[in-house]
Amino acid sequence: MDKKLVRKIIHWGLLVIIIIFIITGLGIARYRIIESITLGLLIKPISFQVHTYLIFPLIIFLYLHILLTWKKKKKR
Amino acid sequence: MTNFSEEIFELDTVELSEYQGEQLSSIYDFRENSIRGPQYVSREKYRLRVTGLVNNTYNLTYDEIINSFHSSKKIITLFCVEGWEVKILWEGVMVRDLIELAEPLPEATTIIFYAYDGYSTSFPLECITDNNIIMAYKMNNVTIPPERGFPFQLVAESKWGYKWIKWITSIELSDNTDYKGYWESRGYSNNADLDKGFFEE
Repeated sequence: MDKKLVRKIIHWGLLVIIIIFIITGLGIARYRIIESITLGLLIKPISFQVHTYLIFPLIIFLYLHILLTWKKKKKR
Repeated sequence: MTNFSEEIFELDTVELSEYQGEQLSSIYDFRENSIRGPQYVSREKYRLRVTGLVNNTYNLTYDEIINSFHSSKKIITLFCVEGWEVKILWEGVMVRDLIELAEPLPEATTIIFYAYDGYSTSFPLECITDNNIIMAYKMNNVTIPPERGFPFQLVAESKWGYKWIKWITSIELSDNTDYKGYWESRGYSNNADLDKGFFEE
């Protein structure tokens, strides 16, 4: 796989994960607001489960993101 | 010696921070996460209704409950699924005593609690009667404030926090073992045991 493509996937993937992580985190701590904004689609239990399942991918993507960025800096 | 005053002043109760050597959390350490925000129930107008599969359906006022039943005190920690916990000295009446007064029918297997804001939760009847579960009216020696569940909060020891229903207005004895309360019908475990996960498997 093209290295540039891999980097893009990692960087954008991390951004998406972080955004979902924040939203689901708010869906736990401020669930009344999030439930009304999402018209009842993102309820607290769902936020909780998604938030929990995202922890491991977040760590992996963050690690890869740092690794790829650090390697790129080193090459320069 | 001169008596400066013959009057007896009743001082406001002070929140305890320690009880029998155990440090307590503050009643302000709770996070407000109720489904419709704090509820303000009138002490004068309040009635606890006990109904369902019983021989004796009854209503009691707040003062009738406080004054008619033996009260118990216990330090119990509430564990919320959000990850926080509070250790509080709870004082209240045994739910078992309220149930006994109602004379449950033999087919009653489930006890359902309803709250002022529409929240509800349920337990197997023996879970309440066998485990000295109290319905608290005081926390850390002060009357439960409205924000924390006045007039009564269930102290569902060994259960996750969503079972600790606040602003209790009625108790129903039922034979519906499949009844699911507010969070339970949204995917949380109906058992809510602390030593297990809180999502329905």
